[in-house]
Amino acid sequence: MMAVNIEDLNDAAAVEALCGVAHQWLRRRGFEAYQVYYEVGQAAGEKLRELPGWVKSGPDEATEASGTFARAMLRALHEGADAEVGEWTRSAVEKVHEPKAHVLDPVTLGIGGLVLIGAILAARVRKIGPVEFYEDIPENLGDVLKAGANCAIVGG
Amino acid sequence: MSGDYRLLRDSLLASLRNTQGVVSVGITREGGQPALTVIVDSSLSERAKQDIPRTFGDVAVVVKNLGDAKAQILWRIS
Repeated sequence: MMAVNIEDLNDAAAVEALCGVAHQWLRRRGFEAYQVYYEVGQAAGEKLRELPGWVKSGPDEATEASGTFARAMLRALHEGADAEVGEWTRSAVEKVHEPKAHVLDPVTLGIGGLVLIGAILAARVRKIGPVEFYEDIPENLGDVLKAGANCAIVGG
Repeated sequence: MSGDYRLLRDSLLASLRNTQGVVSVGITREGGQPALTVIVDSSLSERAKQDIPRTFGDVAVVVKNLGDAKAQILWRIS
């Protein structure tokens, strides 16, 4: 796995990169991503509506909380068990380092959006233990991510 | 999943390609049995919903609704 400079990303760039990885998941493995999103909705129910506001925001509205969260998710994505996801992550981080803004295709998901999609993917591919992964994540968001991590998907 | 199910999935996908509100089509297992799952969102009309078959090539078709999600990256099969 090639080195990737996640720690130097500012808050907006980190959120943008996380959205970029989510975008790749939707583009490359769309059925898997949408099915996981559906199953999370079924499992998490009302908890989805109680997520912190920054989960539903994009790079333009990045905060210290969302930036810190995005950097943690990017680390998990890059170092996770899925090499293809690791490559998407490296590419997304490189793109936000480029001088021109990386423009995402329009994807709107009713609750959460791309930050949540990227975090669910991170929870699914992470290699680090659950205590370490969830330790700084708000409880409701952690419950939603656990629902996504535990959702078994067959086929494609 | 066998190639037969993939062919069925691709055929169902092709038949729904122009149906607004259909987000993705894939192979799943429901109640232990293989199924074709059609993921839709709230832009699917009642009429279009009626047009989604309940079985396709003798395989059950399951519809899962994402609700008010809007997804414009469609028809990508991994």
